[in-house]
Amino acid sequence: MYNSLSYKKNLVLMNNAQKIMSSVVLFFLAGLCEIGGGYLVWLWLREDFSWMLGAVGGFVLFLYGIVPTFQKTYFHRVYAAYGGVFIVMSVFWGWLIDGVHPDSYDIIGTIIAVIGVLIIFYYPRKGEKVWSR
Amino acid sequence: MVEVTATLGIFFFAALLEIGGGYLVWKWLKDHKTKIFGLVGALILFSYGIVMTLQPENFGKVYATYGGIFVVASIIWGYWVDKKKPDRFEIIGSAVVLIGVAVMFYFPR
Repeated sequence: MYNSLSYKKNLVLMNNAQKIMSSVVLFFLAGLCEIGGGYLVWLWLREDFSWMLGAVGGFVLFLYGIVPTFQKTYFHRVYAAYGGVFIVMSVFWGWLIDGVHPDSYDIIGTIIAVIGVLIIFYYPRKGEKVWSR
Repeated sequence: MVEVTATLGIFFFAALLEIGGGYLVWKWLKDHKTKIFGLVGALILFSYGIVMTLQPENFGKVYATYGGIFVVASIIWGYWVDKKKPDRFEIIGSAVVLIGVAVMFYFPR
């Protein structure tokens, strides 16, 4: 069925899909470390939990600093997209883990912000290189 | 108005700490600089978490709004460091993101 040209094309596509997947996983992991670490520091200083939580939070924030070194994209627009993922993750964290229900302005604001990120990320441009290596 | 200025100042200061701390950790691991870079980077990332607690709102709202500041900081970072001038849609999108997080954080309830 496959001639060699479409086989090669499929390889390239698969390779790209792999890169995108690993990039998404890394961003998700980074968001988890950044928000989780920040939350532990927050519990220490704002909710009077033990300083040990603060120390663990500091360490998790340090891990957050390590995660992007595995990232194969250097593209600042991808980091802008990470900001969008971060906004949504934070709202859910506040709601599900911190137990603070977002009000309607929180939800409207989140939707507007995500639209902004989609404009930055998905508006088609020609001839741009996203991946290094 | 004083509160808007103060909270915005804290958000941008936090972004500076996050990006600066991350940059030092990056230098340590990717450019093989001494451990001191990693250590100072870790301390700066920790202080980012501390500065965020100065915001007068609940956790989810503070972090979500910060995400919007981070989007704008990434575009500015691309301009300064990678010398990539933001195109029209990056500027429009950034403005929309800022409007969104402003609704969330500053709309009077």
